[in-house]
Amino acid sequence: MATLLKDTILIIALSVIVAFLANALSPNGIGIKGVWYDNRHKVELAIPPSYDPKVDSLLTMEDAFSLWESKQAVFLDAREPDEYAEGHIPGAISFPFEEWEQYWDDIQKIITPEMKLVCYCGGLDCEASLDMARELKVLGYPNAYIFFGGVSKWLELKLPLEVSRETK
Amino acid sequence: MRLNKWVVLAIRVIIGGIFIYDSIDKIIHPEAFARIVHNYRLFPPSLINIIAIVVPWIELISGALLIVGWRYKAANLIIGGMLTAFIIALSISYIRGININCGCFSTSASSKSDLLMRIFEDIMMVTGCIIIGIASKNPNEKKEKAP
Repeated sequence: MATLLKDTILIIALSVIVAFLANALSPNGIGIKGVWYDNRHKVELAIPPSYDPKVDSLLTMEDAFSLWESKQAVFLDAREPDEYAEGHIPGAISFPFEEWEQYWDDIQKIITPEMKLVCYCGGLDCEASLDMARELKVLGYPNAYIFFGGVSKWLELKLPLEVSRETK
Repeated sequence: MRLNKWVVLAIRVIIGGIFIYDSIDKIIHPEAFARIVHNYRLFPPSLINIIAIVVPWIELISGALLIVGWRYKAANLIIGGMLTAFIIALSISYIRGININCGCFSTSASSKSDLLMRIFEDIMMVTGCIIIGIASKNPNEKKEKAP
């Protein structure tokens, strides 16, 4: 029995050492600590007050994270530029909804109708993301989604934000 | 209970082979496997990558030892323990109704697997481990009784 226990510990210890070594040397290796959010409890889908199921495509936290992580979507930050600068979802583009005309020409050069677009803003007290996605759909971008949880949900789940270099 | 040693060897090769086969895809694509671990909704964020790095290697090495026969009783114990853990995790997911891509035979995100089928397969393999355990114990007992 003692030998069995010793062998078991030996095999596991050996596997752990080999695993970390192989991971360190592998081109596909991953960090010891990845960027994940705590999903052990159910994450509710945040629903905006003016939500219209016929028009709006809402994303759960799960979907938003998955799209972000796999870089399958372009994230559009609908908040004011200074809010964006203070901290936004990494990789997101600043597209203040209030200053649509000023930004639209540049945004149009980046996005295509085939792209998945994820509009978000501050969170539950902000509907700019909703309005933006609706507007984009009208303009011929059918894959405009709303991540209504926004920055507040993102922070609540301890996910990283990116700070713009232009600030300070 | 007498067990034909060839039958036991066949069980060892099958279970060991499945574990080796399972582990390789996970070792090659640790990121995809980490996502599957995340999808179980059972682990804290800080543990997910560590699980994704370590578990496939335990599978690979234990599977290989089970076939080769070197310290295979311990390998059998580890595999049995892992299978039990998998069955618990899969059952929890089934009860919670979580739609995960079980990372057992593939890490492709599009492959949806039938949780019940997977649980059944794992139960079959645990049964195999128990048979291996019993078979490996008998000869020793005889030796002890009649030195």
